[in-house]
Amino acid sequence: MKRISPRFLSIGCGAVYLFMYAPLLVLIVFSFTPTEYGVAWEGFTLKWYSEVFNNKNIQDALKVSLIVAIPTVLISTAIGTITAFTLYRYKFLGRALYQGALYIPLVMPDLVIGISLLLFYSSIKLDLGILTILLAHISFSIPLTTLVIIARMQRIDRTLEDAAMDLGADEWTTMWKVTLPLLMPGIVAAALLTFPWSFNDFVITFFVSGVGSSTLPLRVYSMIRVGVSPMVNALGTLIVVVPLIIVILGTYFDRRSVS
Amino acid sequence: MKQTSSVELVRVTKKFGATVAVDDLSLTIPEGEFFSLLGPSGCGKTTTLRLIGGLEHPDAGDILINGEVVTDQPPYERDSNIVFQNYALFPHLTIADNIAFGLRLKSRRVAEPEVKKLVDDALLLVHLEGLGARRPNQLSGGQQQRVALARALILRPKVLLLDEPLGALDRKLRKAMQVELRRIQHEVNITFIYVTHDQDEAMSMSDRVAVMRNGKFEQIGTPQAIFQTPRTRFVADFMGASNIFSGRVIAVSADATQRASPQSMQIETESGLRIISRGGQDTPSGTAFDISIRPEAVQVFPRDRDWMADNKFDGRIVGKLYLGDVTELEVALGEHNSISSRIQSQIDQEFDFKEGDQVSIGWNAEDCNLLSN
Repeated sequence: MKRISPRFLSIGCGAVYLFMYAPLLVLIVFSFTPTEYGVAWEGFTLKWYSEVFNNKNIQDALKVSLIVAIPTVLISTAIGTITAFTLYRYKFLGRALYQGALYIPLVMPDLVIGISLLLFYSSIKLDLGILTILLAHISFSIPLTTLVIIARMQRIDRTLEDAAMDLGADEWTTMWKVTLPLLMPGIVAAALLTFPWSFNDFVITFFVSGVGSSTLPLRVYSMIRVGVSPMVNALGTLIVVVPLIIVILGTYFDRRSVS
Repeated sequence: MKQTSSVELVRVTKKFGATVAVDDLSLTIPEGEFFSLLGPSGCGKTTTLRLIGGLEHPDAGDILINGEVVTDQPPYERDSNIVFQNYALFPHLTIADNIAFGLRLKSRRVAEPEVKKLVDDALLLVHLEGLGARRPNQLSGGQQQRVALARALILRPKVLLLDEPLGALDRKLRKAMQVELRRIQHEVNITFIYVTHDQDEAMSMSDRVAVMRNGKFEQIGTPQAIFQTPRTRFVADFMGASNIFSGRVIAVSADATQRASPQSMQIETESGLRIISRGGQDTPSGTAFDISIRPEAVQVFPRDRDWMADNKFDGRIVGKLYLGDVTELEVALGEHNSISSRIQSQIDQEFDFKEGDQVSIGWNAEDCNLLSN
């Protein structure tokens, strides 16, 4: 029998990760060099970072992104929890259809969602702005949160709820004291996935944003249309690294709280 | 004086779709009894337990706990608690918080110092003192089992419902827990209703046993009664009486030709064996009967030995199974019949039985048990 040599495997593996992360590394490296348009390293600087922090457009766009992303996370997680509960717990006509319909927005091209939302908003005469972006983000996040929470719910042992009721807890108390705490990892995971889902969205947001309501991705796009400034590299680095640090810290504290 | 009944089922029926899980059951369990529901999986024993606990609602009939109709009460209003098969401990709570779960509910209003004291007492009762701060996943199966028990018992229910609580434990631990459960039941003096598919478990612990099949009771009685005089073929088979014959009565006699039974009859089995059995009052010839004979009642001796039995046959050993204290011998009688016998392993060693040995085999008329169909 022929064996695959471990060296071959490690080289292959390394190549895959290089392929994935090399572009990102290039971005990060060039965010620290003063060259305006070139691609050569010309010494270390933090100037682009200070420009990012002083740029009013970027700050405004970031504010819009957060004003959209945070309520999107809260609202779509809440609605997702309730939807998951309903779909998982109760038997009603067309339940399978409803559950199947959750997958459609996930595979539908963003372009189609964007255009249909735009048509919908103009037909009900809703002015484009932060509200329309928020509504769009909530609507495309709900399938995600619902599916993540249903997945967690399927792993909860139903007899735990039976046990709670048997011990004297009514339906509400059972939900608060048993079901929701057990569901919490799923709810947190849904929220953590939804935030970048909303924060990063470009295509759909592009269709439903109005004047003065550019989110960060839209702002970056309009910036590079006039030419690629290394400021974009610095911004990109921040967008990648800051959430990464948060996730690492989160995992660290999560582990500590378990042990 | 009428004894108070702890649990009463009155013509209870429960269907799941087209299947009838519990079929028109009636039952009265007196206070303080250790009552077992015994049967193979799918016989409706767990459903019966869940109906009493309120986790299922019957389609027909009534359920009474302490004389009060609770049929329409949700589980959280009933004075019964369940120990679940998989323990159902809350993984997000410590052992102490699991046990205190019921006490801390608003509806009970137990003050916190009192809760602490009761939890400590409960941990002591099930020999888990000092483990209150752990999480369920840090405990062994046997320990989790005892936490589940403590969590239910701390509420002092009128009835404790146990759903195959020892099913997941290994043999040795199961034996120890059987003794433990009996001790606890005597200590707290609460009615226990115990679901199991293991006849040894039901025999060793219960005051009374109900054997269930297809949602109905086949037989209710003391362990001794069910073991020694099973009433149906199913019960006899389930209790391990492997010698079951179908036959017809060919003669009934009231005279004393047989030693033990004043009333006896002769039965011819379908396979041609003639057996003398006890009973036979008002039984016309030709009546069909099933009879069972426990393997323990069947004796085996070498051919040349002189001994007495109402039913005595010549046979040949065709199988031998050493089971520790006892040895099981499978003896062929002619072409069509075989009988299994359990003898003390000591006796087996004395006679040095081997497969192929010619032996004589026999049992008495009073060891024949008549089954109704």
